[in-house]
Amino acid sequence: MNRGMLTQSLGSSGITVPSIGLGTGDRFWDSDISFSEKVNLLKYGIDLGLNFIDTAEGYGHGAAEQIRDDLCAMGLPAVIVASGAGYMYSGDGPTHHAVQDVALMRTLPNMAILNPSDVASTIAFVKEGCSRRAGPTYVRIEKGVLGAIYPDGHDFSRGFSVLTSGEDVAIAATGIMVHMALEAAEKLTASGVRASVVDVYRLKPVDAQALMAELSRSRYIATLEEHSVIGGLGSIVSESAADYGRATSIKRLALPDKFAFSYGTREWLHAQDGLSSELVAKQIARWVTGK
Amino acid sequence: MRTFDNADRAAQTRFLMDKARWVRREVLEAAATAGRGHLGGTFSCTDLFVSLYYGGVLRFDPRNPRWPDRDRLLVGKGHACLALYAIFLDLGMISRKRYEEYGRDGGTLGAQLDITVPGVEYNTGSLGQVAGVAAGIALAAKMDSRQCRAFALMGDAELYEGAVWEAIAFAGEHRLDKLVCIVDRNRLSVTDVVGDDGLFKDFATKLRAFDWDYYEMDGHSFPEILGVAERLKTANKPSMVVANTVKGKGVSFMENEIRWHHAMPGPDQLLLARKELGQAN
Amino acid sequence: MTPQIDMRDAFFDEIYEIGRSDKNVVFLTDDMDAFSLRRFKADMPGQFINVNVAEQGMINTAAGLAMCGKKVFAYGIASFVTMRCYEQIKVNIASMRLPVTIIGVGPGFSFEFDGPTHHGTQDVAIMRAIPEMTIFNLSDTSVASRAARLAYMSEGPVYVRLDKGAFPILSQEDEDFLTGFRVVKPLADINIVSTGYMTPIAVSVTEELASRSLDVGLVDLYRLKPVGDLFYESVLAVSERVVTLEESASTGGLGTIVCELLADHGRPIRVTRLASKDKQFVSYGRRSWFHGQNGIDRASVVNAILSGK
Repeated sequence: MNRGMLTQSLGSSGITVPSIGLGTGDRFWDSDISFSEKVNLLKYGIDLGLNFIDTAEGYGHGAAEQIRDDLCAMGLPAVIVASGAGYMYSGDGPTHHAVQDVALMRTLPNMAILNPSDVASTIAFVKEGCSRRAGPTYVRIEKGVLGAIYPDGHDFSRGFSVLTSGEDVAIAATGIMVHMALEAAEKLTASGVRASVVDVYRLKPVDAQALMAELSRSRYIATLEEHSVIGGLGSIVSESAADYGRATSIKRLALPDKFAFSYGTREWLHAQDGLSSELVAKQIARWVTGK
Repeated sequence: MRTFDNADRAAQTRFLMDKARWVRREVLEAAATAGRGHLGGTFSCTDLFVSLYYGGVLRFDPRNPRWPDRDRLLVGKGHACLALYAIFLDLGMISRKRYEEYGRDGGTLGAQLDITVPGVEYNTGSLGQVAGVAAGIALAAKMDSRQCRAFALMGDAELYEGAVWEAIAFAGEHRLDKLVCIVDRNRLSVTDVVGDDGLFKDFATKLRAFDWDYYEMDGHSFPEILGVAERLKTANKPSMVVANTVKGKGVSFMENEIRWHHAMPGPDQLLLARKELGQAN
Repeated sequence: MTPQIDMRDAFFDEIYEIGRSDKNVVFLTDDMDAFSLRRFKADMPGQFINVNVAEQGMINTAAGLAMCGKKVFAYGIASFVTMRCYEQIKVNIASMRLPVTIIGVGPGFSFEFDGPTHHGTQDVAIMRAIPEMTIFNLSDTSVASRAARLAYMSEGPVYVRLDKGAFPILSQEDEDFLTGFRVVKPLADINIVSTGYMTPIAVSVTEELASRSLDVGLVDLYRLKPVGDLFYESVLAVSERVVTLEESASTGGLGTIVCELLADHGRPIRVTRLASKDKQFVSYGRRSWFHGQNGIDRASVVNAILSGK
C-alpha cells in the first residue's frame, strides 16, 4: 500500500521499492528516541509504504527481541534483508558468522524465512516479502554470483523445489548449499548412488507434510545447510519426519556447534567442516552403501 | 622496552613517531599482501596504539601477556587489528610465521582479533561491547583493590551502540575509576560523516553529567597523548578520552577520505604510500 | 528439603551458601527481585550488584568480571535475559567460554498476565544454538539446588531456567544429577520425555493413564544441553513410541532435540510432540489456561497418548 511514498525501481529487478529504505544498523536500534517512539516510527513508516529494510545478521541478534515484540507481535509487514549468511564474512571470525540466524528467526511467530539460491529467487523473495501481509519476512541473501537455478517468473509458492530426482538419497539443501548439493549429486550419480536435490528455500512456514512426502520418495534423506546443526534445516526435517510418519535416519550435514576461530576463504572454512561437493558426496555414499 | 625520563621528551617523541611510521608501513604491506584490510581506521588509531604499548601507558609485560595485574586493552574497533599484529610481532609476542598467516586460508590471524593471540583480551567484531566488558573488569579491580586498569578503545561511530551507554551509566554510578574509554574520533564511519551535531554535541557535558572525567586531545600528538595519560593515573572516576584523529593518517591521499575504510590501494597508490611512510624523521 | 519449598528459594539458598564460601562469587541482577535473594544482598553486599534494567550491560559486566576470575551469576527474566542480550551472550560469554551462569526466571507461561513479551517460550531454542552453552531446566527443588552447585563448578557458560512455586521432589536419594536426565516412572514401550514445569504435570498424566491400564514411562530431561549419548541409549533406543512434553514452542525445544537424536541414530519410532504453538499469545490468564490453549494440559496430553497420535 502506497500513501504518497516516492518509489523507484530496484536495479533491474522490476521490483518497485520506496525511495527511502530503512537501515537497521547502529543508528536505528540505538538512536536517542525512546523504544515506543521507535515502534511508532516504524509503524507510521510502514503505513506510509516504507517496507524496505536493510540489515545484517549481527544486528538481528541484538535486536531480535525488538523484532519479536515489535514486528511479530504486531504483525507488521516488514522485510528484513540480511546479508552475510553463514561464513560469508569468512575472514572476520565468529562474530561475523551468521550461523544461528535461522534457529533464532524460526522461534518468531508469523516470521517467514526465505533463503534464495540464485538471482531469480532472490528477487522473487524480496518481492514476496514486500507484499506479505501475514507478518515480517527474513530473507537471507548472498554476495557474488551464483549460477542460475530458476527461470524468471518461477512459482515459488510451494516452499521447496525438486531440482533433480534420484531414488537412493534425497538431499534437502538451502541457500548457497543448493549449489554444493547439485555438484555432490552429480558425483554421487556418477558413482552409482542416485541422488535427488530438493531446494528448501522457504524455511518458515514449511509445508512439512508435503516436504516429507517428497523426501520419502528416496530411501535415504540428507540435509545440507550453511548454518549450525542446531535449529536449521536439519532440525526442521527431523521434526517433519517425526511429525508426518516415522522418525527416520537423516544425515544432517551442517556447521558444527562450535565457534569457528579460523580465517580463510568461505570454501576453505566449509572444507574444514567437511563440506565440499566432494566431501559431501563421499560422506553420503559411505552412509548409503555402508562402505 | 625502551624507557625515557622526563628530560628526554623530545627523544621519546621521535622514537614513538618512528615506531608509528614503522607500524603503518607494516600495516600497509600486510594489507597489500593479503588484499584485505581496513587501512583508514587503522591509521587513525596507530598513534594511540603506539602510545599505549611503547609510551609506557599500558602496564604490560610482553614476555608475560597474562600477568594478572596487567592493564587490559579491549579493542572495540577490532578491524584495526593489523596495527596490533605488527606491534605484537615487534614485541616478540607472535612469531613472524604467525604474522604472515594473516589473510591466508587457515591462518590464525583474522581480520578481527581473537583471544588465541597473546595480548588480545577480547574477541572483536561486534561493536559497542568493549565499554561494558571493560567496565566489568574495572569493577573486578575495584572489588579486589587491584591497580590494574581496563582500557576500551572504540571508534566514534561505535558510540552509537546503546550498550555503550549502559556501560557509561553503570561505570559512572559505580565510580569505576579504573576504566578508561578512548574514542578514535576520526569523524567518519563506513558510509557517512560522524559530525559534531548529533551524538557528539556537547560531548564533554554529557559525559560529565554521567560522572565521568572527560579529556580531549590530538590523537596524533605524542606529547599530548602522554600528557593525558599522565593525568589518567590519578583518576577517581571513569575517564572518557576523545582523541581527535584523521582517518587514513599518514598517507596523504587516504586522509579524511571515506572510501579508505576498506578500499585497497592500486599499484601507483601503493608506491606513493610506501614513499610517504618510508620517510625517516 | 520438603516439597513445600519454593524452587527459587531452593536455588537461591544454595547460591547464598556458595557466595558465602567463595568471595569471588558475584551476583548481578537487572532489577529482578526474589525474596530469598535479599539475604544474599544483605549479608554479602560487596558481592551483589543491581545493574538496573540493562540486560546487555549486565552480560557485558558479567563477562568483564569473569575475565578477572569472578564466578558470576546474572539474573533476569527468561524472555529478556536471553533474547535482548543474545549477541552479548554469544560473543562476550560463550565465544570466550567464560564461567558465567545466566538465570532466567519465568519460563513458559509463568508470567500469566504480562503478555507475550514475558512468555519464556523461545529461550530454549535460541540458547541451544549457542556453542559451549549448558542449559538446565529445573523441575523440582532437588535439581534446583544441585543445578546451582553444578553451575558454580562449571568452567563454561550455563543457562538456568528457574520457575516459581513449590514442586514435589522427583528424584531418588542417590541421584547425582550428572547424566542430565532422570527416570521418574519406569520405562515402558511408550515413554514421555518432559522437562521443567511440565514434568510434575506429566507425573499426573502417567497416574491417570495407569488408572486406565496403560503403563507409560516418564523421563525428566532437566539438562537440555548437552544431551548425551546416554540419554539416547537409555531412553530413546528402548522406546517404541516417545511423547515429548514441554511448555516451550514447537520451534526448537525439547521435541526438536528428541527428533534430532532419533534422526541422527536412524531410529524409526513414532513421536508425539506436545509443545506450545508457534504463536504469539496476546492473552492473559492462568498458566493452566495457557496450557489448555496449547493442548498441553493434563487432559489433552492424556488424550493425545490414548488416541495414539
